[in-house]
Amino acid sequence: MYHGSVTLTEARNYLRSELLAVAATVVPGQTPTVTQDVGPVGQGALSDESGPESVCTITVETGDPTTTPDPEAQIGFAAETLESRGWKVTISEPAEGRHELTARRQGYDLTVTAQTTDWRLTLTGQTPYVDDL
Amino acid sequence: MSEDLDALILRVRDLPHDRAVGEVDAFFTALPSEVATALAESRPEQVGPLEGAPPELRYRANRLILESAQQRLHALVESRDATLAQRRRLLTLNEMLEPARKRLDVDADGKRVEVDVPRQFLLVETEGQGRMIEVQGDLRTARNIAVLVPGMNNDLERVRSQSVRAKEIGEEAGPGTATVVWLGYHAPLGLTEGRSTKSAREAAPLLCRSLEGIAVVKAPGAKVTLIGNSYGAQAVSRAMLEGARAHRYLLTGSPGVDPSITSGAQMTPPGTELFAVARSRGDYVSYAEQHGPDPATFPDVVRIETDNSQIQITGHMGYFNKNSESMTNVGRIVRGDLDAVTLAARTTPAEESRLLGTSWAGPLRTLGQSKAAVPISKVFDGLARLRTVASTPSRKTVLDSTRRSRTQEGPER
Repeated sequence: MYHGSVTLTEARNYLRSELLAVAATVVPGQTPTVTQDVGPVGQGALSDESGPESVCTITVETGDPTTTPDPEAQIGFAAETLESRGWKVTISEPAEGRHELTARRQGYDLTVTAQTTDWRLTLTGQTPYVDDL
Repeated sequence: MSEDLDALILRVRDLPHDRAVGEVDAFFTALPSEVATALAESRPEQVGPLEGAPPELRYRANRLILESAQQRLHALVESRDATLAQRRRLLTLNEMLEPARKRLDVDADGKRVEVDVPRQFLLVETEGQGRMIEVQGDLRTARNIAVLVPGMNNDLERVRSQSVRAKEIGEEAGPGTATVVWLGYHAPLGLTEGRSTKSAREAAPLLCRSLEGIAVVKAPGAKVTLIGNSYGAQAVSRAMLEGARAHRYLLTGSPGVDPSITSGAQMTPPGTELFAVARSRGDYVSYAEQHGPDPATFPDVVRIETDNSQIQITGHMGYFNKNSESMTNVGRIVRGDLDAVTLAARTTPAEESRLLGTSWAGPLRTLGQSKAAVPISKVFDGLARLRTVASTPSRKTVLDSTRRSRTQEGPER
């Protein structure tokens, strides 16, 4: 866990490893895949998008295509896993077969989603903004 | 066939948007698929931006345009004749030709595989500040389509942040969502240009035609949400005044529409399901009311909540922050879960400023409309230019990037 000031690159690497670790725990026996990590993007400072690149978002997917989806159990297990790692977790009410939790820790934000019709589990995380690191 | 296409483009240019798009759709529907594909490949500059043409053909045509521009700039960089701007542009084109992301799928044997998801462009303009319209997801099968119109300081280099934002909106709205980043206009670059509504006025008819182009390919019953952020809200507002065809509208951090527009009723097109706005505490752009009264003050619009117990948004930049109430409401609006949208208290800028421990809403409004705003804008513009020069990549970085992008396969599913 990071303490004190870190660079955006360090925050990105940390978030990536955290997402992969949680995904590997929640779906054992399957290798999680980073499906998107485009690097730092701008949030904007002076006006709309003119600011420096200040935040990273990363998506990791995992899942076992040979098993029947059980999103409620998966989200529950993901919540336990995240809480044991110090994340503050909020589980949303399921809607249209979509189960989701959000989690926050030290400015990092994370979402885990699972669906009744899909074997995939998706984890998306966002670093704190540069000013908050 | 090429002559027929030229005649079609000439004929539809000044037609009303719905008729123009309908004629283009009919033209391509009548073509055998191999002829249509051959046309897209032989005339990419004409087919790529043509509203009403099948999106699959436009994706193909625009990819060819990107590859052609990439080759031209790569040759310039290799021969050391490229300007700094051309070097940066090549880096951008390389990125646009790379897959948007990967996704997990299963192969014919039921084994898990990683599949590249190609980027899909309905428009690319590779010269000057550039324009582009990017689709994430499937326009033909999506139940909900979100069209995001970015604001100031978005050129081809900087719009990549919007692609990430659009992906997050799609995830927030859930399965069955397609998103469109609509930088189909030349957004103002800098506050000096942003003081004018010229860009937004030029954007309005282009955006209206694009929405008709989406309407002709989307699934029956699919709903379109048009989202304008910052100066993009000004562009969306102008399109609404010209009868844009979407189902729901959301303006975030609007700088105002026009001095004469003081209510939603004056600008809401027929058939609108929802006209919503968001203004977070301390949003200096909305407070300044550069272009007219802030729509968040209109008595007949839905003003959405931006804060929750976890995340409080302040200022102009946070409307799409992950896990914020604002972003959650964006997702609800896009997927049509309108009963769940949470509403903000109708506070005034003065009340919001007091909550932040400041009281600059009033002075900002005065400043935004004063002569002093011009020199202040120029100072900010100068800072933005300095930052651009500082981030120019080296020749080696650009050439390495081109080699990487050329190892990627073309579009595939």
